[in-house]
Amino acid sequence: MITLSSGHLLEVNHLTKTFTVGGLFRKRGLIAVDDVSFRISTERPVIFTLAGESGSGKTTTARLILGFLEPTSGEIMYRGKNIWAMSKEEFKSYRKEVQAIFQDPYGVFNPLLKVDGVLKTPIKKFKVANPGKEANDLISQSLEVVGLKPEEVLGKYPHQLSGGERQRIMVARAFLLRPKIIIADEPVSMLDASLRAGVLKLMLSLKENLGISFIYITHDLSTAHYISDKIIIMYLGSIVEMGSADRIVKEPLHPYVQLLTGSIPIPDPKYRWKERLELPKTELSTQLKSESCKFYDRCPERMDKCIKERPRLVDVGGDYWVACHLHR
Amino acid sequence: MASSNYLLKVEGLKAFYRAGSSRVKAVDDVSIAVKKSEILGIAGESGCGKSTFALAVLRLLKPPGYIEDGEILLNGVDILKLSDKELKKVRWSRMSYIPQSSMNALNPVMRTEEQINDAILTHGRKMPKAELRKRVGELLANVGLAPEVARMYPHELSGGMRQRVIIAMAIALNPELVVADEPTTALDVVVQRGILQMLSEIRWKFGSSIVVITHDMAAQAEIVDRLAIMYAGKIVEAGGVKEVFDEPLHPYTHALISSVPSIKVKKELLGLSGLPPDLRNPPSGCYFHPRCSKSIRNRCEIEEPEFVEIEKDRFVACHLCG
Repeated sequence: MITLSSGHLLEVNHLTKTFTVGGLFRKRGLIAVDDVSFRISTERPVIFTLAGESGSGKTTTARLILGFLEPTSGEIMYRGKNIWAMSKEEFKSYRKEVQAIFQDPYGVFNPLLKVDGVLKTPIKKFKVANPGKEANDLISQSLEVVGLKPEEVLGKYPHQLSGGERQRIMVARAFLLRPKIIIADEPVSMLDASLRAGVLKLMLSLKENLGISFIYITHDLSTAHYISDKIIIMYLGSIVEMGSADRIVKEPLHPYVQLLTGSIPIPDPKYRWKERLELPKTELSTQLKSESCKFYDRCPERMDKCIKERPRLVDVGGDYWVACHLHR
Repeated sequence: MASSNYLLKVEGLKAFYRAGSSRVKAVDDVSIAVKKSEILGIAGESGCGKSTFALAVLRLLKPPGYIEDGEILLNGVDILKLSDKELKKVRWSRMSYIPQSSMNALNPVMRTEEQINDAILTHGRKMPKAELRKRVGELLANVGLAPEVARMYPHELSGGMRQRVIIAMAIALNPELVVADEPTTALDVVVQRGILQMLSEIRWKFGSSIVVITHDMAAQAEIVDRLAIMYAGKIVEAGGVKEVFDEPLHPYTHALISSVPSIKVKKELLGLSGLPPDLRNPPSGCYFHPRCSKSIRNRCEIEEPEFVEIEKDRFVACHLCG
């Protein structure tokens, strides 16, 4: 078992999460994450994007990886060990090595805690440095890594900082613990464009210079393409396409991914959309047959086969994966 | 005046907020014009005053906001001089608004048709029931919605569909001007494309002029004809969208454009350090000088640059130009 997984830092195997929704009488299962598998190798650091529209299951996947939710089935293996079979000590070290930053740099801060406190808490919890000079040095060093001047931010309250600075502090907080992976859930979507660039470049530099891998969760394929090595596109809980960031954006195979990438606005009036996109005239039925392709209702290239058999994710060559009957 | 090419002319508009004893100059001496059936984009970071500008133009600004000075001419008629009664006639029938959080702008206990009827009857004309029903059907068709959506409640509709109902309401009385504030911000990318293309179509179908306010430079690049960039309450650059993107004149415009990644060309993102100024206590000289990499010593921090037309339809407020 351990030898099999030795090349993988993180392995997500057939991960599935079902929530029960509805009231007393109309209870039904909602499959938020549906048989999702992917791997992050130990060879070299990568930025891996999980992208999709709202309801695609990308955030639930992130919460499962962080151990906030227990999977309905499937497993998350870290260094060859299932995180739900770890001892308390092992899980603590997992939570140290796999850190998270979130969308809202305004909401995650305790407004009464100064920046110093925000950074000292994880040091105490994980005992990564002795209190006093050692802890202070570590804090200063982490702040410098994320491009902040310690003397300018220490002693301040969160409301005295900008959104970009707050997000950098969250990265510094994660970095204190020397993580192997940082899970970043929409870390820049609430920031203005001019500040966004700085946070994205910081992620790139942590990967390249300090060997930290990222799982970047986003709906924004432009920023995903800019920073990622690999992109996974999710649709209604399933992976529909997975592979190199460049290829997925430039030559997507799945009709859904083609629709998605064709709708990304380009910040240059030379490349405007040419054809007119027709939006659905009414709500699509949510009654999905469990054996059909999930994209059947919206697919311009649907075939009989697609209603009878749900396509599996297959490698079409070059570690590039698609779940569509058009590509086998 | 009425025969001029311009539908909307804003001259020296100042819209401030009272904050204790001080004033926040959210829109500070803004002049801009919109031609007939043109889409004007207004871009800038949060807090630059672009939403306040929208509210001021429609005279929807509520206290502590107020209009200090300026002229807003819609077909030569100054909106700021209208009585409340006259304003009510103009609003919605001649200028309408797609608000920022329009996802929540619909009344949750009214069916789509009732919401649209309401917009028509409150602001416009009396109409017999049959005609009203026909009009609702036409409007829904115009925004690509099926007739049965008329009988549905907001919670039965997706975000993109609700946004289209709002657009149907905004065009219900064939207004000459539609002001859309962040019309696609919370929507998924495919729906965003559909809505942006729809706005651009409205202009051809009905000849309306549209002001699109969004921080999203890529959305601006896709649909607007002319683009104005706002910074700290002032327009710092304006011109044809192709010209502005090809050759930004103001260093702030340049920073804004080069901080957005494009899937067509992978280039290094530049971004911008620092923060926009506190509008209660703005810096001296050019408001952008503390963040500007090209600021000229002994000039930019002292003298405020004027907003001038340096070429035909190319406006900029920067000491580096001209």
